[in-house]
Amino acid sequence: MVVLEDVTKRYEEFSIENLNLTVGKGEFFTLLGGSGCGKSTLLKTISGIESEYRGRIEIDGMDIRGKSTFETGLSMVFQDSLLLPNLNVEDNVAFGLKMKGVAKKERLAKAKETLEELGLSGFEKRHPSDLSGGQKQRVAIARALVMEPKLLLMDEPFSALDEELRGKLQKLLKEIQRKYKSTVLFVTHDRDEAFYLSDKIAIMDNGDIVQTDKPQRLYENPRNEFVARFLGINNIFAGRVSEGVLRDDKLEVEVEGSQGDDLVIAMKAEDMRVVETTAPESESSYYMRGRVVDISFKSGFYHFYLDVEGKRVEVVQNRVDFKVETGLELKISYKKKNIIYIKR
Amino acid sequence: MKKIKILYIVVMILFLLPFGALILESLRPCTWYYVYTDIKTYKAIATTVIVAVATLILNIAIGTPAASVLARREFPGKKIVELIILLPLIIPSFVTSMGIHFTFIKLGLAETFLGVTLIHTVLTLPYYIRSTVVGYGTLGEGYEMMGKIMGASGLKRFFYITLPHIMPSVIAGSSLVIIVSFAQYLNTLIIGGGRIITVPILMFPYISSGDMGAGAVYSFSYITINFLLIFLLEKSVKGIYNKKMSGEKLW
Amino acid sequence: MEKIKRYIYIAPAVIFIGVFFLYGFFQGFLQSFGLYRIVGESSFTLDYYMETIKSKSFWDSLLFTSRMAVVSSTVSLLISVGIIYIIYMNMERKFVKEERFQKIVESPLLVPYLIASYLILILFMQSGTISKLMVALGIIEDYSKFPILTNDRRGIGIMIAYIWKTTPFIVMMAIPVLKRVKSKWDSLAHIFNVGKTRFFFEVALPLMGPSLLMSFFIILAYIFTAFEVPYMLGVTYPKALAVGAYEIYSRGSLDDRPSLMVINMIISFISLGSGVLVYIINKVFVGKNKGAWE
Repeated sequence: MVVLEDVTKRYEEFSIENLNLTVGKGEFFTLLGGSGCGKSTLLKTISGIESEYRGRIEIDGMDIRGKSTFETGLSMVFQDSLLLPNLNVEDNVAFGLKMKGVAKKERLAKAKETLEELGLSGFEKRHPSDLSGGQKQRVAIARALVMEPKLLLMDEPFSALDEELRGKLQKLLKEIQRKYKSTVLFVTHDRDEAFYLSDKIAIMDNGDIVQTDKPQRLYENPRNEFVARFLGINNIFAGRVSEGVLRDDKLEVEVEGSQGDDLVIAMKAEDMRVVETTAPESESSYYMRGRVVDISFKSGFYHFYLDVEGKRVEVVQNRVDFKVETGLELKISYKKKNIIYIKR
Repeated sequence: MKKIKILYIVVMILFLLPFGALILESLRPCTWYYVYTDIKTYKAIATTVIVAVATLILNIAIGTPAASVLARREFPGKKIVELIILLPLIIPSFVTSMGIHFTFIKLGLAETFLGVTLIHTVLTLPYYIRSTVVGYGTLGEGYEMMGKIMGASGLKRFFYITLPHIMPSVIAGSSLVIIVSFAQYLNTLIIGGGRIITVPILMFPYISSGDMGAGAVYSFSYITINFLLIFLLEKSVKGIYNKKMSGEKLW
Repeated sequence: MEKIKRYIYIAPAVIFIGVFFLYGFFQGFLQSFGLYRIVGESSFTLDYYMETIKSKSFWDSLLFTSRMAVVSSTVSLLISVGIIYIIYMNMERKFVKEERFQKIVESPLLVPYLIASYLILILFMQSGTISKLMVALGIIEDYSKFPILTNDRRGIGIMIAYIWKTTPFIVMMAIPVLKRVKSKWDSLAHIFNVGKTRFFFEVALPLMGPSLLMSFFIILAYIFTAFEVPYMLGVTYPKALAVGAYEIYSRGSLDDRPSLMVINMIISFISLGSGVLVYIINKVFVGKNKGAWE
């Protein structure tokens, strides 16, 4: 439904070169990346705010170059709610319709409806200065949705809100998107947010799309080390296979690989377990030996960091049956089938 | 498109008309000669400059410490202090000049340079302080504290850390002080009593009668000096910023 | 020690203004009530206030000054909005060099009111530049046919001078706000297809409202209390309040001082009142909607 073909745009810190992207109708598509990767720029280019670019951008078959947002049927929500302070809530929501020339009665009625969807019934006559950050963003979303756009663009709309609020609004957004089957192009740097909301995620780095896939598949098949690390997979090893064992410096991992292969592998911290050195070993698992150098407890999970032959290995589990202290020698158990092969 | 451009040109011409009239009327070489061979002209210029410079010195001495505190510290009564400093801008100055004139006479300050300087200073302080507060505002305390920790004395800290940073604001405030002091008429007249003759006072009889000779010459000279001052100001402030950007030492 | 340092730094400024400004004002305040006389018995009295309130010339003067101030400020404001509008359109369409246009519009700011009055005088007086030009071009026969615009009863010359001087001030104060508004709200304008002119009148102007309003009251207060322009471009009767005050000061006897101070006090309180208004506007609008201007 949205197609980007060989889009090229030069910017100060980076350049987008020959970028290709496709978003399906009714899809929630997220551009995910750190600051300066070009995701916001790309969004602004699609929206027409940035008009200098080479290549072709289509929305529903129409080339957007030089066209107004009414013609292309797109609407947008920004990080700042940008509500006009001299208008009340319903006038703010109806603002776009007013610009389109819709009659007062009709546009206020539509505004009222949309506000209801966003859980803001009764807020019509209030002023932006009386609203909280979350409420303002909901009004901004209402303002964008009331236009019944073909494509909804969202540029880090929840980044400025606190965590609890963010969660609530994400849930609300997901419900609305599912209900109306809206096509959404979303930009964020928050990994969890992207994973929760999206049907598809494109990870961006330095102006390039590194990998596009369904969230689950991204996690299971990261294309390269950058993506793996971005998704939070920190145990990455590289080396040559010898007798079924990959050797990264002094660290050894049992892998599926042919003799002499050069591999880059990733092992998810959640797929591993720490085991006491005296505990019995199971048949289906393999083991590494290491020494605990750091422990932290985050969001209900233990994060153990061990030094294995000079390499830092992270193990995450939610429960452990024995006392773990720094300096303790432990074994790390892993299963061959959980190893992710990034490069063969 | 071109038609609309005419609108802009018309507006610009309308704004420049008074200047145009001035230029036309001041095209009299004899009058220029007359004005600039008159000793009174030079006496007036000297007087105006002396008063302005003295006013500026007082401003810097009194205003800078005040600005440094107002910009960065809190203390009980700060709002009242800020209000007091703002008052000379709100209350018409001649009200005060007339009110204090008699006291000045008693103190022997009337018709003296000192008296006129004092009244000029009190009228310009708000401008200087406001401008310098902005300069201090961007400085913060961190830099000076760093200097203290590294062992620099108070005076050194001021010259090497503070001063370069606030210089643009100080220059802006100083030019404002000079411009305002130059332009004073009524207050100088009241306190100076006609004995302290600044350029505005010298000019007045000519310009109030619409005299198109000396009046025009004086006005033209005055405006030119004002423009020059502003120009120099912008250049020096820009120069300081550019030097800062390229990391050069300021002195 | 640190705590005291604060007060030591602030003290000179406060004392200086206290002594050389507030004291003068205070003297005037007391003198208006008949106290602190220079000659004669000092006693508290409201007679001078009563006298002034009953004086016809005072009310004529007050009316004249008010009308002059309100009309000048209002016309100035309207013209300013027009100029800000064309500056805005120029930002978009680039008809002329932005910097040059702005510098020219702001040029009157560099001219003190005294000289500004002079320039308007020589331009518009019957034997002035425009008149001479019109005679030279044959539009009028001779200078006596040129309308009386300066030193006239309606104060037209005064108003022209004020408009020439104050419009640049309003524009200068509003342009930074306009720029901030534009940079912040441009994206929104694009997405919701807001036309340039519509953007100006429905988005930018309301957001500039408080700044414009504050400038309006600052100018209103200034014109109300100013001396130089009406002195040079006005007539003997009615006089502007400040001019009337000066005349009493320079020509009246010391006995007239209290009356003079009454007028001074009235002028001062009107000015203070305007200051309070500006402060309130600042608090209410700019404070509440800080987000919109950042």
